[in-house]
Amino acid sequence: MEISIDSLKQNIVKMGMLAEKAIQLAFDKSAKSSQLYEIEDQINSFHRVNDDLCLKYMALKHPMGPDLRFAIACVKINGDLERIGDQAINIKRALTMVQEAKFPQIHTMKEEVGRMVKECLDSFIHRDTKMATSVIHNDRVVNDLQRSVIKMFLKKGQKEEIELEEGFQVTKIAKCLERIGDLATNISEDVIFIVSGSDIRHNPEIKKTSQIDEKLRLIQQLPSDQNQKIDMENITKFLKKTTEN
Amino acid sequence: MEEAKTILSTKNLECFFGDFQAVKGISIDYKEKSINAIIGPSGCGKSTYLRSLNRIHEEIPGAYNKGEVNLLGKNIYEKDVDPVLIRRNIGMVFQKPNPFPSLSIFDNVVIGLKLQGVKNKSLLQEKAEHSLRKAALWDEVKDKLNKPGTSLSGGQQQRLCIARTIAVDPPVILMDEPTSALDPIATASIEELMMELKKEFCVIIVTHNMQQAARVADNTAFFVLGELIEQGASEQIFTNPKQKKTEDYITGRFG
Repeated sequence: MEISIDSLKQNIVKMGMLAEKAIQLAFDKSAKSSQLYEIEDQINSFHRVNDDLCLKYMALKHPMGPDLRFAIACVKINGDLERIGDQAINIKRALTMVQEAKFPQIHTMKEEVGRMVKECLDSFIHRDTKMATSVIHNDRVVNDLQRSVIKMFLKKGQKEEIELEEGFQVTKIAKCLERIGDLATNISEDVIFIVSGSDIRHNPEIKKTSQIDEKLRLIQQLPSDQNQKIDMENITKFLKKTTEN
Repeated sequence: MEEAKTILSTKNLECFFGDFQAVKGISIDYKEKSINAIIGPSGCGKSTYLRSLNRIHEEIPGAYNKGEVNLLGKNIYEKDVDPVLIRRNIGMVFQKPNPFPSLSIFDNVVIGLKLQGVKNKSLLQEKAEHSLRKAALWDEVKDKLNKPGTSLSGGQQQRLCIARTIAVDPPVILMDEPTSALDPIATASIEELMMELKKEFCVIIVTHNMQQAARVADNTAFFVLGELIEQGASEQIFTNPKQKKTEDYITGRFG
């Protein structure tokens, strides 16, 4: 394989597509676990190949400036994508014991997290810091959704409306999705580092925007045990409209 | 922390070869106890600029300078300044090791002092040992000080030239691609030596080797076609340069 920035970029993008596929298969009841394991195997192969490629690239090409930042970021993104694959496996296992339809927040989290993963990869491909920033902002939404799943579990548990085991598995799925959201956030932070050289990690101020505050307020207004999907698309459209105005 | 003192500075320095302007209005401050690298593609004027810092440039027929080079606040291009005195205060190490072929290792080191009129043998011996130790060469040559300087290996010869330069205690040392003629082991020993020299001297080095600049220099200046494109801390220049031209050069897309 050619030792270059281009090969590295292509490999990371391919690995990212596999990570997206892994999330999709994790939630696809008709997909067999073996299909997901196969994807995870491919992700793990990329993990090794990409680390090796980064090492060789740095040892042989002595990159500097933006190329050096790119190589360093790729090592980190490589690890983050591998862990997304692991989380997809955990979700698939937990979902076998859960009736997904009873937990609308899980569906919403899946949609939000799936979009974050897609957008962090798009921002990597197009060096789009605006898109990367929007992924980082959305991390708070996913964290909030996870909290609402835990609240719902406690509420339903007290009323004995759900089995303890099922409730536990639901919180586990929410935790896995929240972790994937964190990993997509990490990747987006790395994209910003690649493009601008700025390290914006561990800065809570970055995650605060009035638009996200409004989104969180709208989520909180929705009944947590409502047996229907939270219409995040409509909320996003509404927010876009209000910010445009 | 106390800010380091500026020992040498250029102010709008311009260098000419007849009608041709090789260096265009460069202003840089050099702090004491620092290593400063100058990088840039061939023909960018970096060696000419360096040679103007101790008035060697003007030795070329038709060559002259404009602007200021201030050593401890005094412009070295003022009429009352003796260029020989300047070269004693601003030493220079060249690309190819150039020990005097007819002189022994010992005499190569103390030649500068002898030319200054120092005759005291014990002082000369003391200075020779001190300089050779500083140049990390003492242990290798202490038993053959009377052998010709040219009997040493390339790396040793370059360290001998460094010992010769520091024997007269110049506050500033200029190095024009000092390792480009050396193998990696000799290069590593010279780089190690530069880090030692930095504890006492201000070192200004012209290099084509960007990894070398990144490894040893505190500050780096990037020249293109006689102009200063960017200067700053090496860690900034080599990880997050501000100018597109610098970025293109350090990533190998230009130059």
